[in-house]
Amino acid sequence: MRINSVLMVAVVLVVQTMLMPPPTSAEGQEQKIKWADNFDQALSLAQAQKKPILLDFFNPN
Amino acid sequence: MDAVTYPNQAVTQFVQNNLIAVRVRNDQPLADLFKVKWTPTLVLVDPEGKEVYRNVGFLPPDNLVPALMLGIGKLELQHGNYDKAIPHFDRVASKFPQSEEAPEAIYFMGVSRFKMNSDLKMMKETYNRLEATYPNSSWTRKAQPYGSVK
Repeated sequence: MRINSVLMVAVVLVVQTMLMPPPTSAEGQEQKIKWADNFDQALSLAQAQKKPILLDFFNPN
Repeated sequence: MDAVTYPNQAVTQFVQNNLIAVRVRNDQPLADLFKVKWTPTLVLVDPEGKEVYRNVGFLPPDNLVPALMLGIGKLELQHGNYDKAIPHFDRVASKFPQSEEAPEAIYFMGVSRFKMNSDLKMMKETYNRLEATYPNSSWTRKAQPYGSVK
């Protein structure tokens, strides 16, 4: 009787898992910084969103 | 920065929520305009294009967020938005008390409070707090004259 109950719960859990929609591509992925394309675009965005601009000057070599 | 700092999720979240981020190669005209001589150089610019904060050299994730918070606080301070500056300085001091930005944040929180009500006791309280928590900081020395305010 007890084994039957455990089996029933296990079956329900398996079926529930099978019926769940697959995770979207965004789920589980690490968020990345979205860099603006250029300073002029950043200035426009900054004024519209009232946010400061972070300029990261880097050496590509 | 690419390998360690920017992939950090706390850094990513902070930048996404608070800033418009732009990457600029050091051989671009904008680097000359901002007189960048070494990389990495991070410059915080207000929406009008005026520089308000700069850091030269690598910053690990634990340092970048308080550095940027401090910069945003300074931006508000420079614009005279003292009430908006204080929460940024307060967050640096309370959430990152071990960071090198923390004593500077406490100092400028005191400056912002003084600017709001012209009461020098704000600066005395600032000095007392700095002396108690960061006795060896250069910001404690800078606040020292206010320790004798009656």
